Amino acid sequence: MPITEEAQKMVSQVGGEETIELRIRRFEEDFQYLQSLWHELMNKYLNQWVAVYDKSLVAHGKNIHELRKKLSSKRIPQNEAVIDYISSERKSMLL
Amino acid sequence: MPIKGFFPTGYHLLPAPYVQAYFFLPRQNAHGLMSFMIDTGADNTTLSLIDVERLNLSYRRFRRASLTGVQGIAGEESFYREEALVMFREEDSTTYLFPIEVHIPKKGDSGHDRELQRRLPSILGRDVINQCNLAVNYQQGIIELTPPEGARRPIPTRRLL
Repeated sequence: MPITEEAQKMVSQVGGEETIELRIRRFEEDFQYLQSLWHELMNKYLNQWVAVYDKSLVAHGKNIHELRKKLSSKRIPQNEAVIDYISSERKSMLL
Repeated sequence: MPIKGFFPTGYHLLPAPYVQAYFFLPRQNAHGLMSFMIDTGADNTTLSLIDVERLNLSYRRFRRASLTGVQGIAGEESFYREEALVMFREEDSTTYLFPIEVHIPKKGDSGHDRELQRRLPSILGRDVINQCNLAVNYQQGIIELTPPEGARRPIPTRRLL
């Protein structure tokens, strides 16, 4: 099946482009919310994984498996949550 | 209107440009929201291991034949290639869909390697960037990807649907 047909099918499956647009918007807000919490998270959850969904911090865990388990038990869709690692180390990156 | 990104704090020694998108991987019927670091030095859009896991992608379903070596400054790494779609939104709510061949990292052998892979960002490469005008001005906080008007790609989905 050509990729454009696949695209139509998948976009409809997720609820149409307006729904996706709103979800991207919400994700942007969650991403910015996480940024606004960054210093607080550095104090509370240093070297832990954290997740933000719908502008609230919904879970944290010492490793990714613990975090994902918590998200599953709270029925928070991992594919729509902002997940990040709170590290004190800021390494240089050359990607 | 352009697709807007921003410079988050916290991740990098120096702030880097990021943009949010909806990502689809049709062959595994997987999709989800994602942040991409915009990287003009990368040929291909590439997923971080954490995003592979967030989307619940199955490594068993990646094609061995698609494995390819990718050279970086720190050496060569192996990646699976998959057909995918990335959807962005403009400020006026128009959405744009980019068909791409995404690169997915082969998992590291040790838990430590995989943990380091998870902490890398997903990357938006020149497969998408070169289809747009890209404006970056850190001093003014501007990151704008502007798809050219009337271009064959990206495909505005309103025309598709």
